[in-house]
Amino acid sequence: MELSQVQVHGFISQGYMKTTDNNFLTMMTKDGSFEFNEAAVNFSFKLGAKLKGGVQLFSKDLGREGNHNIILDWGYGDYRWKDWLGFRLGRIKTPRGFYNETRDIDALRSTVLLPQSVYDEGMKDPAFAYQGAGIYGFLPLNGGGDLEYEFFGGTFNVYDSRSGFWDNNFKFLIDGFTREMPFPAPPVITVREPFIRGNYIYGSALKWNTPLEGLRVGGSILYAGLDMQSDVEVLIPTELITIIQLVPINLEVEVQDHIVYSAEYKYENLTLAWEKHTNKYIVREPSFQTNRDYETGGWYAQLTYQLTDWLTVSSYYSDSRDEKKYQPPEKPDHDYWLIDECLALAFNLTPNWLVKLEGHYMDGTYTLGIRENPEMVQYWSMFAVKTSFHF
Amino acid sequence: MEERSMIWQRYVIVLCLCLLAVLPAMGQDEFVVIVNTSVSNSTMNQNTIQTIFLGKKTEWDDGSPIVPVTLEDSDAQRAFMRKIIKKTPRSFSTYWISRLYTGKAIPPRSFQTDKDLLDFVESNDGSIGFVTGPASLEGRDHIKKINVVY
Repeated sequence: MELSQVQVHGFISQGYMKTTDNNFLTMMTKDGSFEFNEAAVNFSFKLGAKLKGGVQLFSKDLGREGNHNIILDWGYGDYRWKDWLGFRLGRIKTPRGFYNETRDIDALRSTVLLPQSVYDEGMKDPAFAYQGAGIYGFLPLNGGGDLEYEFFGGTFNVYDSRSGFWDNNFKFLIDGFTREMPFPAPPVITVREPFIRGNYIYGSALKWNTPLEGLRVGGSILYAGLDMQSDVEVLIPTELITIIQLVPINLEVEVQDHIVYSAEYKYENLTLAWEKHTNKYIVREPSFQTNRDYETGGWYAQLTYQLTDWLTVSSYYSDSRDEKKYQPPEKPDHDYWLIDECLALAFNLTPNWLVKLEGHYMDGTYTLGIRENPEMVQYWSMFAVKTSFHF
Repeated sequence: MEERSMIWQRYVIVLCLCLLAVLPAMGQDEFVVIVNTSVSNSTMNQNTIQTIFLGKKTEWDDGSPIVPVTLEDSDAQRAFMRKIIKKTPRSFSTYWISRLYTGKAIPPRSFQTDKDLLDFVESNDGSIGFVTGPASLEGRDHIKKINVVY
């Protein structure tokens, strides 16, 4: 068997983000932050006609997350027996929506951030890549376009659960249990650096390239199980004293239906994209008798137009919603949504060098980190600039 | 009335001149799709060639591997991308970056000149590519042209 076509590629990017009123993505963006960069190098090779493999090493800094630790982004062997049936084994990008697998490659999109309603940066790890096996294939439909399918199963890692992205989620879930407990007054709960362990993940994805040139539609579904552990500090005010307790909490989360519907239409220099996701999950805590079931979701619509060889303009509207059920009534309404209106310009200075500028107007505080936002403001803005080079 | 007729005559003459200017260009092939003679096909439809160059179809009907190759920036490349792949050269490049950077596929090898591409196709079984049209294949015994059905 001949080893052929060994290829080495990579990319590096550096961004800057500035916000008003709220800090974003675990960065102190109100002051402006450069802790926003990625770098990767990948090696791909073919062994004969049907077998290929590769690895990508990846490093990033995103506020408190990443801190330039090097991780195995993906690395797998791929045996394509026939066009309609192939097998993959290793650490593989999860096929979720149309853009999950390529979300860390800046060169492929004209915006700095993907719409957070479907591609939430804080929840990237569980849905980004899995360790396990997958089967995939391509089926021409004789005049009806073609289908690409994928089934997969395995486990997943959460690399930086202590960075701050998970504090909100953990507190949200704990609030769902504690509000019905017989405390003399509402307790003040502080989550201390949760640890998240992925147990299993499996799912499938289907893409239909329709007979209408440029139009593709698709859907993906995944199921997952994870454990969330943290020491939770509970402050219970009473008439005489305030009781402080440190309680170890172990939440079992079962994601039952995580579905993404996708559609994309390309006509010459115009690209229209729409995606919607729904997420149903159940949370159990062994000390409590009852479970909690949640349903969250979001959608976005995006327009991209390549004005010239070197300039592309994009705009999207993104709407994320959280579940209000089980939550304390005093929590402000705007904690349950994030509406993001974005306008972006991308400058292709050379085929390998890209600079992007974008502005966002935000309504809502859903997904904002509580550690860097003790007080949250409903209406706020964000500006980002990022430059990327790939080879 | 006579004046109006004159205007029409002028209009028809100008239109004919425009058509005469355009017709030679329409008849001229901007690119020619070629394969190594190990490939049994002489006619292929546009959609099949598109799926080959997007890495979705990787085997000929007899199960042998397909080896697609492309030309780098050229008029033939732009015409091939527009008519067959239905993408701009940039979006074709972006498509392959996404496949490569996720480990899913390795892009087709590309060549700077017609001669380099012809040399490769001539000496590699299963290969398919395109060159600037009308191409002369004289002396290229292991290459044949493909009739593309749109």
